[in-house]
Amino acid sequence: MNKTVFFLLSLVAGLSVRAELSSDILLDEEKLIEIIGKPDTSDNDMVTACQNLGWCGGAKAIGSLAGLLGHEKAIYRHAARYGLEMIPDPAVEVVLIDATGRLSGPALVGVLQSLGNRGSEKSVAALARSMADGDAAVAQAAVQALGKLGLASAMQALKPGLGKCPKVAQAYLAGAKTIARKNPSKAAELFAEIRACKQNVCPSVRLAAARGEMLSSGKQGLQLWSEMITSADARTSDTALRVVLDFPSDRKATAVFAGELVVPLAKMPETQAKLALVLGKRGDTAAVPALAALADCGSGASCQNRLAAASALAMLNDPAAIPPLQALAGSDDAAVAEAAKNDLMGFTGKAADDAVLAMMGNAEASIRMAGLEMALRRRMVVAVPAMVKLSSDSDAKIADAAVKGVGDLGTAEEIPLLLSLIRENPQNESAVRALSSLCSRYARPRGGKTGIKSAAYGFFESGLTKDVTANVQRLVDAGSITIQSSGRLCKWDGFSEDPAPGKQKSLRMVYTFDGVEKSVQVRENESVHLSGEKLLPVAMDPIKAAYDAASGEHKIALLRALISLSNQQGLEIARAAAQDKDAALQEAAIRALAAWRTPEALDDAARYAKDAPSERLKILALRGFLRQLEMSFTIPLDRQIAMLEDAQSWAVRDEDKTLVNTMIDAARKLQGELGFKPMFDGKSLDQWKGGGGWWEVKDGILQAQSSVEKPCTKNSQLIWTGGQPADFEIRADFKLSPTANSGIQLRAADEEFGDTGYQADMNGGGDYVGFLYHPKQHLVGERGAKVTIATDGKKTVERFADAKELGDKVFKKDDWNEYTIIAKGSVITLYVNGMKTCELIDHRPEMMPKKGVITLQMHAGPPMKIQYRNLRIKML
Amino acid sequence: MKVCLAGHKVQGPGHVLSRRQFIKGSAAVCGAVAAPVIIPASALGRGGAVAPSERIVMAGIGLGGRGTADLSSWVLPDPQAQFVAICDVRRERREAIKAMTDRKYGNTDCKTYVDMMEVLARPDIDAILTATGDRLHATVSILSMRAGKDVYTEKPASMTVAEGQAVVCAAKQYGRVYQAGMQRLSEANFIVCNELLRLGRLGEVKTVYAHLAPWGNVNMERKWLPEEPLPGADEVDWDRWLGPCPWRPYNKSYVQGGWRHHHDFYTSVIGEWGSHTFGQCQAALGLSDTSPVRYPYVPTPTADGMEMPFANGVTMIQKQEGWRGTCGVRYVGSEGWAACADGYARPEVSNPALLADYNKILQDYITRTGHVVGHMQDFFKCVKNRALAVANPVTMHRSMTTVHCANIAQWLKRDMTWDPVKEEFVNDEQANRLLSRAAREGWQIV
Repeated sequence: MNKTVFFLLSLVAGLSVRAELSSDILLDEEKLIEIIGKPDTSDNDMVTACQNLGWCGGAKAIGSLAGLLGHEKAIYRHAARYGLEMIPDPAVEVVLIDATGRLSGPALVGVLQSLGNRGSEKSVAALARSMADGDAAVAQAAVQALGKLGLASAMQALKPGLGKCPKVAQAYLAGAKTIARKNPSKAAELFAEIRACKQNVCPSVRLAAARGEMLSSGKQGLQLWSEMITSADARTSDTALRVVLDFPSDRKATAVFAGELVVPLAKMPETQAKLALVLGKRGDTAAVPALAALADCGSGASCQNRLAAASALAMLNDPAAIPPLQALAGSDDAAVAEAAKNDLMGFTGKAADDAVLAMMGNAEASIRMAGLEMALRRRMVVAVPAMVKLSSDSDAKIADAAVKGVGDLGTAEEIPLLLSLIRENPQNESAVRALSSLCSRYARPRGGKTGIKSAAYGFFESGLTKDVTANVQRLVDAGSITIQSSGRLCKWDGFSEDPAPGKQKSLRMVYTFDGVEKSVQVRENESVHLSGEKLLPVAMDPIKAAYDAASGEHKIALLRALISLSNQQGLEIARAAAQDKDAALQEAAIRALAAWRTPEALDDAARYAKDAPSERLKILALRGFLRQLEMSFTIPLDRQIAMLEDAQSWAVRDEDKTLVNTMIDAARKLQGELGFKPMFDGKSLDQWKGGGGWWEVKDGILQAQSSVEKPCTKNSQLIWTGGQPADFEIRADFKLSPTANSGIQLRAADEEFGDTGYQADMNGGGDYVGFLYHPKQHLVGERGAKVTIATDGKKTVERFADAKELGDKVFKKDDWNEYTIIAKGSVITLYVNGMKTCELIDHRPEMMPKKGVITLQMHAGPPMKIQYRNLRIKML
Repeated sequence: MKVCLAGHKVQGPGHVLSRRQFIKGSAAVCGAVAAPVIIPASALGRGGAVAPSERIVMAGIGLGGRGTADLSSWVLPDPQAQFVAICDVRRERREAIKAMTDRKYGNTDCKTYVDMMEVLARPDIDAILTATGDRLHATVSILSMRAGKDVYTEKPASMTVAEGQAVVCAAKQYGRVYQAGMQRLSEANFIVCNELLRLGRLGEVKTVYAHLAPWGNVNMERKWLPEEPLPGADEVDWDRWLGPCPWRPYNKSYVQGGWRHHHDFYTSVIGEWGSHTFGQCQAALGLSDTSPVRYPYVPTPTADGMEMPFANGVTMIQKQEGWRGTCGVRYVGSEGWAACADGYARPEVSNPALLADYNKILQDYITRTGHVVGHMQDFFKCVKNRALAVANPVTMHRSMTTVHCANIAQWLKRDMTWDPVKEEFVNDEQANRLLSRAAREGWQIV
């Protein structure tokens, strides 16, 4: 064995210890003891090994760890205690107590801490000894540990120091608290001793002791509480307030607390308000009489304090809260009034409802308004008759809000009222809206009438979609009338699976209602409304009768209400109105058809885009036509393009022409994508294998990245598992770091580390982008040239552009670029960003195989990053 | 008895008090029996202008990125609060927070401290905002409450079960208001989800899902970063930065947030979001004062999919996916489901009708509980009326216990049974060892 080999072996041995300790949690007592015993173990390994011994160690470990308690390195001492404190064996106490006799200074401080944490009675004597240590830190640690023990003997040891040092009082407090769990009366005595000290007790410890005493000494505690709650010192009264929450359930105790509320605290309004609220939080109705007295107008308290008492009553859900809240809701102090209204709104039950109704009938306008607001927020259907009454209130604001309420909560019985309001004043927007809102509740589709034929969600342009038919049907069955286009449609139990991460998705639905088939497409986060397919006669008949009899502005107002549901009846009415001789009605109808929420008015919009009576209406109709066309996915693309080409001539303004042209381009592009299927799903490597471990999916991108620490030293291929296509077109976006070197191999061999077939070449600098490379012939398919190779190998080059110039023109460095690769028989053509860069015709079968796999190359080289997205293929 | 007679220099928070006593005489700090001169902030909010004497005087301890966000979006703009001091072991942070505060108030009054005991000794300070690394949340909270301060602490707020118990105990004992930074408990969407469950609108709920951070592992790094030269204590006080945790050589990456994923400083991938989402689920279920009883080991590095049943049979499942935003919850009942995560405009529900009375549900919650929407607002309200904040110590401790128990089951690679009354594992002596950790010399605080 030579020196180098020995060195390497020892390095490996060292590494394996490191590896064992860092990768997983090593819990092998023998091995760990061996590690801490080795002279060359690193500090890091020492700490980890000691910690792990705490997890798994026994008697043997105690011996090893004890040896480190007095170590000169603080880090080892701590590590030893870290381990020892965890081991339940009483032998730990033995070694720790033993160490107190040997150690001093910081080492001893640590050991005393550990004894405190261990909680053994055996350590009391040793801790008491250390209390007298000349080193203040040691003495303090001993005091603290004795307090932590919470044992009678430890308290005995601490007692002489009480009143002489604040640290002792603090420790005494800790001990008393522990004792209180098992022996409250004993603890009460101990707490009282702390309070009795004239000096050397921190204020917070003194208050804590008082609190302990109150909670552990029953009735006497309540006496102390009464003294403290009326203290002028806020911290003292705050402590008493907290006791109200912590004191055990007991109606008598609550009565004592509540007894201080009204009179004794009248001069201390801040404490009074706080006490009212904590009494509410305490949840005991024994406080109700006192709270009601404070909340009462006659209590003489400020409106803030009356509100606090009323809110507390509301927390207790006691109806006594209602009259004061009602009074406070009309308070001049806006904040108080708002808070009272909120509390009243959150108050449940009939008593509260009655109070609101009474407010609605009040002579004072502001109280009527407040009552109305509350009825609306509480959604009180019982308040509808009162709202009807208020709809003719002398106060216009109240009348307006009441009409809105009738719309929100009313029934068909209220339709005549709304119709008469509109007849009286066609400008009454609230009444028109209320009528629409009311109607929407009479248009709910009934069970079994809506059938979902198909529903799909995703990014249709690249086929990354998911069938959500069953889930949409379940929503409809559950009574949903609005289907939101969102990822939650993808899985019923809620765990949505994004079919196309990072893409703007759409929902496409084909459904039937009353046997009529409809289809619609909406974007992500838009909704499909299934409601209002038919307005029930009970609502429809009176409105239609009024509409037929009306004229002028009155008729227009009713038209707006009738068409607000975008249903079939509304559509027919709008179509008829668009032909009316009343120009104003005609205009309103055309506007409505243009803005129709479903694509059903597409033809109408087209018609008026062409020949509406005014230019303004033509523009509106065109916009509406384009919007509705966007929703009409069932119209074949070539038909859509033809319709858009017609629309070019309807466009009046330049910006509309541009818009139409943009849509034509988009539709043509989409048409060009027909037949393509995704090679990459945007979220997994499901269609790929191999790749030398380099490839991953991040934010919808397929990527490979090497670094200085992890260099790429060998070429590898990520292989598409979708087959061995013969003739095809591939489109892909790629982005390369400046040093990256990659390429798409065509008709290659199925080898992870192979290098076969023609390659659509690419590199970050752009020098090879747009070239067709071959491992045996290198850059044979030159950029800017048509290359033909005969069966005998004779090569003909016809240049159509300069290689460099073309490269500079088409390639965007450090940005996304698109490759289009067409392989058909013996011809391969490349396009970069839509521009042809190379065409190669190779007649030699040995060089141009008929089919093969498609792979993405990661080329060895300096640190690099390669990214692909939108990889798709179409078989030719 | 020679206690407190000499100001011997020891590491840790304990020594400071003795030094102060030594210098100033004990009566100055601790011996006073008389009532404090400065009356702390009190009285109910009046909306609008707040008299200076009614403001809640606050100081920050350890405010990095998250702490800066809490301060700048919730504390500085709020007229109820007056932020007067920053304590940080990093000079860079001290200066940044001071600059931000002074710019906001248009003065130069924000004081800076390295030693938290000095800031805690100031009697004019009512409340502490702390957002140190996870390792110090409980230590700072307990010391603050012991000094009579109310505390808003960022999460995860305990490193071990024992630490959580100590926080609960300190808050009770000293009667302090404590709010853990589980802010979704005060966000309207999450509140409405919880209320839907509580009101029975989802039917019988047997399963709830809690979102788990989609990064990191349960087994954390035990290897130290390479040693770098230790800067002066004024620039970074490394010893105080470590606090009760085991000492290790300095590397600047730790103090810049790189402490994450290290075993001594972090509560793993589970604690990262579990400290929010477990608490949210438990609050919804009315189980904020307990923890699940079983923690089946899941053979994955992240505990994704761990199904944790409570004693009443409801199961909480940890999931890394299933939401469009962060920190999501999902409650599945016999009659419907509701889900929410950050960034949702409204909760997602099985039937839109569930949200028809969204505002009413929210207001009912506010009236019933006295809590408000807005987590810092809830804290301020409680500081004033002394009520329990929504993320009170018990809510924090029991949800963090769930985090710790799940971690321990994964570390020891076996199923665990937890007794939430005794707060110990059943028949698993080894697991029970992991409920506490020894503090460094001088850092024992309870």
